[in-house]
Amino acid sequence: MVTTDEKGPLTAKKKSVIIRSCDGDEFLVSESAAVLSTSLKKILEEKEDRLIHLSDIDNKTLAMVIAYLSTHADDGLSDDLKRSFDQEFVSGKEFDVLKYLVLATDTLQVTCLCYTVAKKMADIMKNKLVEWVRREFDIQNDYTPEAEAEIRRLDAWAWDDRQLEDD
Amino acid sequence: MTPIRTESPEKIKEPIAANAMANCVLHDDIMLCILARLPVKSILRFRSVCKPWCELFSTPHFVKMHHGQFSSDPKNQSFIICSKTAKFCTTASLLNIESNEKKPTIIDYPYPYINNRPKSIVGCYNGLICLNDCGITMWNPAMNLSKSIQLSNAYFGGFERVSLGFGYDAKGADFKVVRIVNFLEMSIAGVEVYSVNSDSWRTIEVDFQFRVLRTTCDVIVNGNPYWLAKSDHGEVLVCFDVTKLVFKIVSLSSLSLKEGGVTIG
Repeated sequence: MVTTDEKGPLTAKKKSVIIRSCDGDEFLVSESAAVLSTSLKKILEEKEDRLIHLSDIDNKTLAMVIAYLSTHADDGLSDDLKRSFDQEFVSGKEFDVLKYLVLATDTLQVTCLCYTVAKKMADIMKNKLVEWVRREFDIQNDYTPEAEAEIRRLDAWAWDDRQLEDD
Repeated sequence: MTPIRTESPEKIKEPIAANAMANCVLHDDIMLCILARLPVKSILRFRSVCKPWCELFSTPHFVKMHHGQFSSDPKNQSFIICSKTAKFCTTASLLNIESNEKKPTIIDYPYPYINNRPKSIVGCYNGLICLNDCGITMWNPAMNLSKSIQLSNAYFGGFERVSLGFGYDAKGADFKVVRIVNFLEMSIAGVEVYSVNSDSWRTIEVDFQFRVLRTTCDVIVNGNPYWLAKSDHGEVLVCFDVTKLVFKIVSLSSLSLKEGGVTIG
């Protein structure tokens, strides 16, 4: 049994598609929202099937992306409201959540959301320690201790440790 | 948002879900997109994350992408202030207009006095500073990189005043230095332009006469240097179009200019 989202019952005018996450859950999305994703738009142009299976996006992340797409497809909302929605949308989210979100926006090709999430991630990262960055992105330190010390010495002014965070 | 239909609990535990999200590795394009949104200070620190990042931050592609992100936002505009201390040393500091930090950040100023003459700033554009003493130096204070430019061998005869201008050709993504050589009387001895991309000088033909008032350009607007100058038509503003490599005259007929008495900004 498929229920509709908050926009009320389906009409002939307002077509919908069903998107299935990798967890197997399905979401009903208006076509006008789905086509804001370049990838979904292409899929819909190519096939009649109204069920799209995304094998690499989980429930939680997909729900967030769909909330974003639905808001941006709503003609009743002003651009200002959409912008403040965007700010609200990324605020308070954990870095891990943002990583999955930015991956999903890349898969689905939702450029605006991708930039918004990337900006938020950069804002979180900017005052973090190098060690934190390596941990979060699973990066191996390939410098020798001497080479690392040398590169830190070169730009001492950028190393005001008082404001740096490790969590 | 809640799913409209949830699969039975057994199905959620299928390996596909675990596999797909267990290893969240962001590929290069996404990393680039995030890193280009970091402030310069963070980028400098993150050069020590790993060698590939350090290399990435110096590539023209990254530099252009990063600049594109930041130049449009007035919050990211900074001044560079060079001050001379009593002991013939110069200090440089960056002051961000919108920053919460009240004090400018002191940065390394790598140029000691040469021949007891300080380097003077010819101009500053897109984060690159053109300095002048006996030669010309390009300095990127954020990345602490600099490049000395050899003067050309062109000789225009006994000249009286040399003035330098600095500009950025957005079309060719090229920084340029303009060298105007004036004779004592109101005439141009010669003009040459240096292009950073081609690392060479070329001489420019000038079809009208003027005499610039200062040894460096007075202001840089949209990448083009402007000089206050005297011409047959009185005091004028001379603009050098660094893309088309031509001079243009902006008349200042309603203003009365006296040498040294006018500043434009």
